[in-house]
Amino acid sequence: MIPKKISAGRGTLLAIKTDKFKTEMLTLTLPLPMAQRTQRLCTLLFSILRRGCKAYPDIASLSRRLDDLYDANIATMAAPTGENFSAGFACECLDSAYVKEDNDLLAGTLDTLRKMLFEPLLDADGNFSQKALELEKRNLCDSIRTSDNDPKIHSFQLCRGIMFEGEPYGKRAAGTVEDVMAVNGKELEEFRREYLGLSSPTFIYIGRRDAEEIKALIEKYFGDFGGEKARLNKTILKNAVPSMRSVEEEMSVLQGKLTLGMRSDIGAVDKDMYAAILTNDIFGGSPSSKLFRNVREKQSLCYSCSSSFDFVKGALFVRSGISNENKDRVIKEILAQFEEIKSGNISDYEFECSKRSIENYYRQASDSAYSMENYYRTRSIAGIDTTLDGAIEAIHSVTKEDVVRAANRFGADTCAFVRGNLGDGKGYEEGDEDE
Amino acid sequence: MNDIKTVKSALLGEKYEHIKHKSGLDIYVFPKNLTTTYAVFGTHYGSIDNGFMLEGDSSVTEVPGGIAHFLEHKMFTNEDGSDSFERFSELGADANAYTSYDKTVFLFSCTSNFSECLGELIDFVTHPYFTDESVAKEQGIIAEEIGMYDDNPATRSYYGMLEGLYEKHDIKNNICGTAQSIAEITPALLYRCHEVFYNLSNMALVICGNVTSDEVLTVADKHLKAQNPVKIIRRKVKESDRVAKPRTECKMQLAKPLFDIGIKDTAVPADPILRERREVAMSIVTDLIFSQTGELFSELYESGMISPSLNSAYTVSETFGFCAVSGEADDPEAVYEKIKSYVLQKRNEGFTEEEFERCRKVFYSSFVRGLDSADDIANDLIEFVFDGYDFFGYADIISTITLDEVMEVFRSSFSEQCFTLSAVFPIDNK
Repeated sequence: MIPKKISAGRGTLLAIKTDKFKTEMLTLTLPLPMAQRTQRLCTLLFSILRRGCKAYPDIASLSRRLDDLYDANIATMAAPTGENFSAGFACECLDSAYVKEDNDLLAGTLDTLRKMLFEPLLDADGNFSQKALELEKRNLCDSIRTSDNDPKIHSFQLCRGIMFEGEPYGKRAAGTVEDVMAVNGKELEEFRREYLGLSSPTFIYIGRRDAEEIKALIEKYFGDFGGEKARLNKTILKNAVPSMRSVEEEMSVLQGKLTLGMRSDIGAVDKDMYAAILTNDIFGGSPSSKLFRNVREKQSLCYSCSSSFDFVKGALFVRSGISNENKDRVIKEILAQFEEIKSGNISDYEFECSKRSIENYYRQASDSAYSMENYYRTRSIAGIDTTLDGAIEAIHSVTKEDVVRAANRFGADTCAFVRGNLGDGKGYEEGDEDE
Repeated sequence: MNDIKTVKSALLGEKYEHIKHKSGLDIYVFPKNLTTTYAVFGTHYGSIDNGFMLEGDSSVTEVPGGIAHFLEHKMFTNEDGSDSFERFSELGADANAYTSYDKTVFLFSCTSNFSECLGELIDFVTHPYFTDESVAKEQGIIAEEIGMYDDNPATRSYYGMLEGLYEKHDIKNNICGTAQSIAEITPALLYRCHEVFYNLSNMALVICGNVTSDEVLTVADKHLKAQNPVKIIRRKVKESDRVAKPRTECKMQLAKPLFDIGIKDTAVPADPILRERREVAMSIVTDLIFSQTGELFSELYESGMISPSLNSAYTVSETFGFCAVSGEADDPEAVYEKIKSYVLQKRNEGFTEEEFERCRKVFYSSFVRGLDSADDIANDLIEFVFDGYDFFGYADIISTITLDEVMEVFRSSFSEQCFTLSAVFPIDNK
């Protein structure tokens, strides 16, 4: 399935025609430079738009409208890609062929989104209602506090904050609770108008219809969505600091959470990008990986120890939940396993398993509309137009030498550990209460 | 001889084949034109099966909590020292496994080497191998897994709700067991559980993808040996018509209190045909009460009593059933009281035909959407098989069930004595 790329409305449509699914999906996103103000306002705008619009003035009536369209789904999206992010909407609904009545469910879903986005519910002064905004601000602040209190997320945020200090990528998406509380209804309505023309949109369609038919739908409902192409940030690629930095905090939990971040200057268009993807998989990306087999299976040091690679930012993160007393052993073992790759100690088994695993992953992506959409949207914003088949070929041609070369471009940068202060025998106090 | 039956749904344009394999295993092949083929091999055995006997046994075998999950972990290690995870990796497939209250499932997904993968799946699940050393090692890994779940406020809140709902039923215990219970597990106990529950007559194999029954049978004939069926008698406990505790709470590191409200279903039918229909009716009731479309959600959300996500679901099996509602709230007690009074009010008032028909559309859509994924089909189908349900019949029930029938189920359940509240508060808050 090769996407057809055509212009539509004020942007570009990538249309994947397939009869694999009983659903249709159309996403509309704007690529934007990452900035806390934009991300904060986007999050608040999207949540307030989901509360209703002129045609469907409250959550219940908007939900009823979508349920009438056989539970059509309008989800908001704000996904980071390096120093930029894509913000927009995913419309997904049943293919009309599977319902009895004559009803174009996709057109109905797009019409609903258009009303939400272009005809919002405003007060007499033309601003978003203060009451609704205060509730949404409170929800966003709650979610910031929830992240701060989750040891796994907190460990990751600590690590990122230090690793990418001074870079947009290292900043918390929405900013602080104080930043959120300072937003007012007027500022948000001004941002809505600004958002609608901020950059040239990317539309991705997956379903049974021809690209031309979808282009016509886009032009009918979203012909005026988007505007001048925004100047996107250039991704900042840096090598790791010479000596790994460490930070430790405590939380009232049993298990410690470790995040070990590594950096490289391998970006999305680097010749070693696919070799770096393979390096990550050999290191900690699958059950055949060095981390899974050595740290978990051979040494029983943890239940989870895996790595992930951000191919746009060239950053690799190892995350593990461990007992406090094993911290030093686990860090030592993680670094030792990466040194093995750098030295070329990669067995044929490890190399071939990882290759097959990634190829399998790309092939399987074609069986899910969400996976395909995510693949093409992320690559579109990163400036790559490799298809899924192209990615399989690229992985297939990577050699062990390529992996060793890519691995040697990484260095350990920051290690963040959240110590569980209930983990040293204290445990949880139970507080059951019978009535 | 293998006995093959085709099951079709004209409504959905789908079909699958049910093969009664000569070994005694039920095999289901659901063809889909996808790149991925997904296979699940499961046993009707989960965390609640801690007391059992075979027909003819003189006494009940009692086993430590968490043993089904422990057994799932240990099955991947083979007698020759190899690890089946690694073998699947060599074949380019993803393998995994999970244990629920009433089933243990081993699975793989692949885009090539299907026959080799299926052979491996059948082999490792039917060939147990445990030693004192490997059991001791796994105890360390699972203790860390238990620690991970113990630190998760949502998991703690959910188990608090189950403790509130049930006095004796094993469902109230963590699927992984506790550090103490898994320390009691021995190779002998694992072999015993495998012998009883991994008998082919208590198992099912489901494959979904671009595959034919002939391809599956070629592998099954080679790798499966015929077994004498067993009749398992599972320990059953009599639960009260009331909840065990109306309130449960604890304190943890978190920002905003979490809650799980449980509503015990005390009239779960033993007959699977009736139970499947009740599941649809109770799920519709749950959705009518708690979905974003309803007035309860609007009232709770607009007044700032709850965070945006209020999740609800009805869960049922042969020996238990409950509706669970979870969310975040500054004052879970106030939300609990509001929900109880709304439910009692709606039991009297009822729902409109318009609300009901809208809900029917949502359920139909959800079922059809599930048919887009090999993963969803295989996992749902094996669950239906173990529950004794008719897979396509579920869509037929959604199409034919009436508001009167749903209201009758609603009015005969959801009574005040069946409610329990579990809450997790931030440390130093309450």
